[in-house]
Amino acid sequence: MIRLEGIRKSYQTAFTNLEVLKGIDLEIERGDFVSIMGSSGSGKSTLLNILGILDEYSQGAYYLDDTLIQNLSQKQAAHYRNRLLGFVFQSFNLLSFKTAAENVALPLYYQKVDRKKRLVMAEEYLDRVGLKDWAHHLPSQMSGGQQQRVAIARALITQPKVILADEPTGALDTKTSYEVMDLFKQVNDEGITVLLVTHETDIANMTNRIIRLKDGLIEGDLSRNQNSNALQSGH
Amino acid sequence: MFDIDKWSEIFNSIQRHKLRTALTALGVFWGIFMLVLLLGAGQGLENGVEFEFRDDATNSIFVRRGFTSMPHNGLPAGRRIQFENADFEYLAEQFPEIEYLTGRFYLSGDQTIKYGNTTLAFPTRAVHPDHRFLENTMITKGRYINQMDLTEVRKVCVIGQVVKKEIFGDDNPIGQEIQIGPNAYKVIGEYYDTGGDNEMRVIYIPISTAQKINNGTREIHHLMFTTGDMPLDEVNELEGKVRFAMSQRHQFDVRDRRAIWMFNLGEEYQEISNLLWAIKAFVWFVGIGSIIAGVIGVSNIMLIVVKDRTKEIGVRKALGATPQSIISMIIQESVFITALAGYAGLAAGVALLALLGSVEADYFRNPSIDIKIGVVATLVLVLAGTLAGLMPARQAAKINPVEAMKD
Repeated sequence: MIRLEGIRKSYQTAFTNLEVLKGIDLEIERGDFVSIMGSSGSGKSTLLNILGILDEYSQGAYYLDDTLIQNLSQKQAAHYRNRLLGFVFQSFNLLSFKTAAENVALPLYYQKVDRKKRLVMAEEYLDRVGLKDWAHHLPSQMSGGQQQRVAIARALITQPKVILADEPTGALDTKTSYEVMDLFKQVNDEGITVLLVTHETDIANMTNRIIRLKDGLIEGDLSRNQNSNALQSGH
Repeated sequence: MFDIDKWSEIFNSIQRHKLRTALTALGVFWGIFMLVLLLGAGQGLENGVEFEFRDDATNSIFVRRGFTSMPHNGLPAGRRIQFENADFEYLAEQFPEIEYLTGRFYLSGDQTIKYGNTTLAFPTRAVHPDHRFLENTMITKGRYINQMDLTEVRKVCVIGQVVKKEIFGDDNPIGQEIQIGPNAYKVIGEYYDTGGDNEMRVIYIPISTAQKINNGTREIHHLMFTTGDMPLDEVNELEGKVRFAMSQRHQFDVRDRRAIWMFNLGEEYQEISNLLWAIKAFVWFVGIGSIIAGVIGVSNIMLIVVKDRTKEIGVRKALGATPQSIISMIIQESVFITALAGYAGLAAGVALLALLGSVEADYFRNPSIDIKIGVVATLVLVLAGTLAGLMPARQAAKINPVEAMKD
């Protein structure tokens, strides 16, 4: 699903050339459930941005669903983001002036889906994350966990191939975090590749594969497929 | 294309910043309002001037006799200059570029007019046939004085509508005989004059007839002629030639400005037209300046809007919004604010002009603006709104979603 070959990323500043990623080789299978861990400055956010086509890489090759993602125009990038990827952010990033349903429907607006149809779909997806009754509430009227579930519904509505989540539980308490992780697991069970960045070990432990980054390089890649049957009960 | 989502976005954005939007809109509103008001006032001024000149052909030159103020060829100063029929004929022959030429002869004072039992007093003007073109006399019934009337020295007259009403009431005056002074004249025509009631109190009679009853004099009191569509410099040249010819014929120094008075309406009109043009240019300058100020205000506000919505735009981009969709969202909002405020200004300006419409003063009447200006203003507003939104929109399109969502 995702293939990275020798990805390097450096930021040119006036005085120095800061290399954040120093050659990442990585392959993620379709339907995998992966977490990326690393201390701040390890390059994990940069990696996620490159994977999300939000940032360009300096060297190497990135294949998403067998498509080479390189030198895309803004329009093409927007198209791939919209069709292939779903984003979940640490701070939810819901539009505060739109209801839950409208927020969920937003990606479909950019696919030019008819208004009525996309609102119906939005309610369906809200139902799936257990927030059917909250469809017409504003984000400010909801708890953090609920908001993140709305964000997940928003990420799912385009039926993406990959969900990218940047510290999705970073702003939530433990109990809510686990609920959100359960939701990710359900999503993953439907065959969607889920990739999340976290620095919490217990969260990472709920995924099938943990990739550790340090100073722009992959330091460890631990696959838990064989030894965590509890997590794999669905497979 | 009507896109309900885009519009709801715009209303939403406006609603969240009512005061800010209102203040922005006020700038544009005021700009357009002032432009309309100034243009309307300018038009009022123009209408006023045209009204003052309405009665006379603006390409006419009046020649009046005077007294010499300089001795010439051994003749003393203080001589009276007199025009005669020969002067009229001379001008007609020597200056083919003259369009319409007429003399005027006045019977002294208002004449007593009698018809049946009615006795009234009206002024008379004895003229040549071309006179009607110089005074914008419009025949509403019958005909004007013609060459045959002059040659045969007919006792005929053309009366203004005011005269007609007071003497004949609703009766048809054509063919009736009225007594002007001691003589009976047949009414051959009735006219309307844009110069108003005073001009329509005049009774026109053939100049030859008036001269005949005045002891067969050849005298002409005024000479008047029009210059067609000659440009002003040629008109001035013609004026100089006529003055020179007259100085030769009547033995006065051509530099003597008091021997004859020449009143060049075209020059007068041109001067006022130039002044009007300058006022108009000034109005446009000020008006467009205030619109630009308004548009810059909109642009500024849209920049702040974009800044404000950086995070939101970042989220939208992450969710698949193309730069184009972001640009059109910002520009549409900008055009909407500009156009709405501009139209309100246009409407308010037009309304105020309508209220001012009843004001009548010298050189100011009926202020209004052309409907064409409304159409042009629409285009200008949409264009201005687009321009105002363009820079902020491009700024928005450049927003990096990662940076935008950082905090």
